[in-house]
Amino acid sequence: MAMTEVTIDSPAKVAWRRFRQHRIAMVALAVLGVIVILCAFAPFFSGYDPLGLNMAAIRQPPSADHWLGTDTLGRDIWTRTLYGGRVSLVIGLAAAFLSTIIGIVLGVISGYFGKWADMVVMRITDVVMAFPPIIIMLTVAAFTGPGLVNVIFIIGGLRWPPTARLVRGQILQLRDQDFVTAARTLGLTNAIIITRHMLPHVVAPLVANITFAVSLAILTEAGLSFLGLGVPLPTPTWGNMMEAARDLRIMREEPWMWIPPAIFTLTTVLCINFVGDGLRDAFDPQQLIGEK
Amino acid sequence: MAAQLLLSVDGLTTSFGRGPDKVRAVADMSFDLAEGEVLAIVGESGSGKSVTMRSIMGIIPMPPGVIESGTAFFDGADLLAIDEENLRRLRGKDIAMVFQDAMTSLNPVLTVGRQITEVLEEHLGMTGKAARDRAISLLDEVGIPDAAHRIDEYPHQFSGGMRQRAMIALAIACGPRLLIADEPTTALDVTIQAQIIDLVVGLQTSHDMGIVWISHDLGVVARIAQKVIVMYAGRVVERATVEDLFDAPAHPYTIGLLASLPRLDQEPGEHLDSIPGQPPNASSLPPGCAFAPRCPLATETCRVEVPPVITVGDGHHAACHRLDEVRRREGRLPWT
Repeated sequence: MAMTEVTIDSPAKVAWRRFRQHRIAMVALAVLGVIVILCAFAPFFSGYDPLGLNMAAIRQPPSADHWLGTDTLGRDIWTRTLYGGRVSLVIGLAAAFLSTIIGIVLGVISGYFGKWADMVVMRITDVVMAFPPIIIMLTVAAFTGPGLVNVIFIIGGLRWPPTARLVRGQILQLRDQDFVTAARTLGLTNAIIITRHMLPHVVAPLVANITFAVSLAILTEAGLSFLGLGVPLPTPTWGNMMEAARDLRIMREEPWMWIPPAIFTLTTVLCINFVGDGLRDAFDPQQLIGEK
Repeated sequence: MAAQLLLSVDGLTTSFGRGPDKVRAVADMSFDLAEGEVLAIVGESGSGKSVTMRSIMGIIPMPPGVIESGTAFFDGADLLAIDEENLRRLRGKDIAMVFQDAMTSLNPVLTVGRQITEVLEEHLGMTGKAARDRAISLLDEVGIPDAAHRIDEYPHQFSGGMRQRAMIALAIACGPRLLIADEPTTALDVTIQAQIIDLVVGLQTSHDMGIVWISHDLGVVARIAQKVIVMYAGRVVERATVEDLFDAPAHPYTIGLLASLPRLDQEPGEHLDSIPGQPPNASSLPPGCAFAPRCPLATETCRVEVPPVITVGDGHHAACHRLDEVRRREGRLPWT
């Protein structure tokens, strides 16, 4: 029997091919790559110590020595922006990771097991969502005190409800699919049915959700730090560098102190959102069907 | 025929919803299945044949489903009463199920081979190469050509018939003693249907499985089953051996079903006798015999009283008030 060799790409491969056609998302991914490299390898791009004070060079505008100027304590702004990016990005990723894990676990419990488990989880979700997040964060931060780990836990611990709802909805739909019923008649354990048969189907809608969670976490960190409840000084983050703008004189007359972290934050969040858009389109099953 | 009893269902009643919206999908269903026996459950859509077997398998969505009463003994254990974990151990190993639509019943993101090996892993503790080899020989056994290569393909790369074969391979992977086949040939071409039936008949003999075959196709039933149960509106109307059912049907509904089958000895142009009327809505069943509104022999008693199950012959039962009348007319009913 003559057979033509047909290769079928895995869903991930198809998604990547489609993602590459999304021009804005590709540009955003490149910009994001540059920012991540700059921050991750900050020592290669700057000769200064981010914490090194220099009283002889305070409040200096951008110059050949200090590309983006110095702050009120004579620290190099460019250097602090790069090192601050490390902290902001770590917080963004870690908090999004944490909220995604919590969201998946709770979403699965409530969607798969239903009944009272669903009741309990969804009521907790409602309660968490009912409070304005910034108020809770301020309250919690006031009790736990500022600090990197605390910020991650505060953001991660409060941003999971949308993820939990998304996962719950997906699991509810999947639970009635024939292949899940079939898996049950084959005597597979709940753990295997959930992890092997259901969660792979949740990945696509979740991927976009995760990227948005990262950008939201970065913004939230900036907000908390701006209010002095995030990562404490002198460790730089984009948020606490922007805190300088609370001084009206600095805001007006020495904008080099707050504009760089602001631009980095804006660019990063925008790029992550564009990438998220691209991923969402790439994984969209409706469009996958239409493709040859 | 002193074969060991494999499955014994008694008084199974399953309903959906509650209060005024309650729909009784299966009412007082009872049957026995001996080891190595093939039983067919026949009925039109909504007659409760699928719900019966799904209740026994524990895959009725609850809520809204409720198993109101009944027992289903398999191997000394009541499937309707044992806990989830013990039921899980039986499912896939001793009892397996094949569904109508293999496309949606296989997971699209896992290769066919993976779906077989995970069952072998779960119930027989087979892993790695041993499981893979076993999976290949299973696919080979159900007639999938080039099984060693196709094992790594995804369900959508299989044709409809091949997918159904893969599902059967999955079902027999752990050597079940009871196979439940829920209209496995309905979605297939007639030629493929015949192949799948032959395959299952062959496997039934070589593996000595008991089979419950759910179908609405009497032609299929005649080829595969030894015993037949005819259901109508959630109740058993007739229970007989295949020979008795085709030669001497006792219940007017069964007679009507058989009369509506096209026959080769029929004159061209002669019209088929169909049963007038529609099957009743399960949420508003008549108080008496559910078939009474469509039955040419129905009397006042039929309309108000649920008919008892009456023994017609050896292993032949029918639920009808008018069996004497049927017998007097020698099974010829005035359908018009």
